[in-house]
Amino acid sequence: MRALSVAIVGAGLIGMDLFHRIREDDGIRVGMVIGRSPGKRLDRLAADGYRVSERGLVKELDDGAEFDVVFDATDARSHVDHWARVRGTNALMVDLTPSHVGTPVVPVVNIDQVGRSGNISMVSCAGQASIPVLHALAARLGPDYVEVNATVASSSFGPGTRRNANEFVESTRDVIRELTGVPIAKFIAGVSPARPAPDFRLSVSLAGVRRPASDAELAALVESTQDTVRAYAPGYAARVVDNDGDVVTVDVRVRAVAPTLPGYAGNLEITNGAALQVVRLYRSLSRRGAESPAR
Amino acid sequence: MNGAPAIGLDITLYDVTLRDGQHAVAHQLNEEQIFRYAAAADRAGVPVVEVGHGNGLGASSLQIGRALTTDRAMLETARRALTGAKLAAFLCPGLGTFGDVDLARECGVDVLRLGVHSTLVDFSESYVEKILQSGLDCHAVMLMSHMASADRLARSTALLAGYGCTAIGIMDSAGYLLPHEVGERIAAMARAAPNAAISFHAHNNLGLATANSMAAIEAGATIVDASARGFGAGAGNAQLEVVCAVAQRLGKRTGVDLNRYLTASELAAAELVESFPLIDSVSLVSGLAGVFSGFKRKVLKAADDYGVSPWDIFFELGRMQAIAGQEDLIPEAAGRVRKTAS
Repeated sequence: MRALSVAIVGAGLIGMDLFHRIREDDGIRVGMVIGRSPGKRLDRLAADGYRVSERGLVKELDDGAEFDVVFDATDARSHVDHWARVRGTNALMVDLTPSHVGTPVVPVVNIDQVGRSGNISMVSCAGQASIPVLHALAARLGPDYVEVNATVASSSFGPGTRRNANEFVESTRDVIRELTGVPIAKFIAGVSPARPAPDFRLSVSLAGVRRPASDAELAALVESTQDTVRAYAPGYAARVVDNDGDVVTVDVRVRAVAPTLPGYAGNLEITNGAALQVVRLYRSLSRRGAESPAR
Repeated sequence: MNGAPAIGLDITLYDVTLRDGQHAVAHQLNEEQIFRYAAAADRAGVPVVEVGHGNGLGASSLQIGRALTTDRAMLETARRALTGAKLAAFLCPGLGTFGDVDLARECGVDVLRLGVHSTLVDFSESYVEKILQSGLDCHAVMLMSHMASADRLARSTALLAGYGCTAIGIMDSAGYLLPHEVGERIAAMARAAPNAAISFHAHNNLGLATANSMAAIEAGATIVDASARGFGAGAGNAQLEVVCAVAQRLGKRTGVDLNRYLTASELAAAELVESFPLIDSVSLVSGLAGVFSGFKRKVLKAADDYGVSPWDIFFELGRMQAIAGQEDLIPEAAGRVRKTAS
């Protein structure tokens, strides 16, 4: 079976890491890299024989370009235009912006949405890192409040993400609520300018616990969640740091192990690792089904 | 409306008693306290009263501390109490959202002040746009300003002025700066944004809150933050009645009636807190370590939990360059101290 052809829209930190990940995968190939403006990055890719464009996704599709998958690594506003155009095609949209337009997917929680929705949202780095733990613990503990505090190194936030600071906070918070079913969620995004850059880390709390659990049981739940996430983010580590009967707090850290990323950029690794999981599943569904899976 | 002082005034005093002061009571001020103090400050001619959780809108949380009452209740209460004074609120992007900007507008806030890190001002551009579109005046204050050089602050000031902020200032969040360091920073900022007002927010960890505020004024600041009895995080802020008195000695007009303000200050002393901030050993050390004063309570708890000295924790946090909102680093710092000691 032929490899899926992928368009990467946005040649920033996220887009370029996706590019490297796709090259490592035999079932997926880079169909085109679409950047905002000409520059060394795109020139280098072109020199290496990749199709590049600085004309934007919409123009390329209008001119007849075809892709099986579109990775949107631009910004929340641009995503709305991109989706409006991709919607009528056969391509799967995988949204890496915090637009909250598509169906939010966190692989360990609801990857079964792949094949049902034409637009899969990867939520955000903080969503990908916190929701697996929150989902597992909320089902057991029945809390009425969850809170996530994320610290991200400023150098792992590109200009697109910086423009979307509010969308990042609001959509992460909303998807935490949506996927855990806990009525009140609070998400705090801390960007650290410290040098050396700190690792991507989160403090994840569940409060108003209705069904308390022992330390041992919580540790086992968190460990099994951690192992599942490590399938696509090997540097993922979670451990319970507090369990007082009312509040349970878990520390989450994600180190990047990809050779193309600095270790602190675990935020990029977990989101892009999850996005690749989505595409791999999509590909296996395509193979089993007809030309493309049910939309 | 803009950031400059009203006509005939040299200095605009920003009263942060009901916002930064919340740090001194773990964000537990109730509506009656807020109403009574805001009304007293208003009667004294205080031009701007800032109200909210110590870390601003949307900050009530397990991580930073839950407020007794909601942002909406605090703002609406203060709004009812103010007749002449403007109502201000504080918002740090990442903690607060556009939803909080909408809330501020609904509650009649006049001035929204964005708290941003001096090297990360581009994160706030979309917030400035949102605030201006909402019809509010937008100011920016750069936190932990001792971590940035005068040059760096000047460049960030120019950017913030370009976004549309009418006043741009610095907070000496750790209470670390000396008067000449404040002066050179403020002067560079004033040169970088000649059309914006420049503001300064002191913390008293090294006993320099009033002196630093005066240095800021001499260097071109026209907005100075202060609070009743210095009520604020850590060792507290510049004491409003003292700044007012010193300004009077210097012949600078603040528009505040000192006699009437002393009534507000007495009310704050009697009704807002049991003990006022002072430069205790912990506050002194946090200032010297260059760490945000608001960490004090959590550091004391961690020192207790880990059986280590709070002073050592502060120095470790200083080495880790911890900034406000990173309270989850405190146990880690305590753990490192314990490891080094054993």
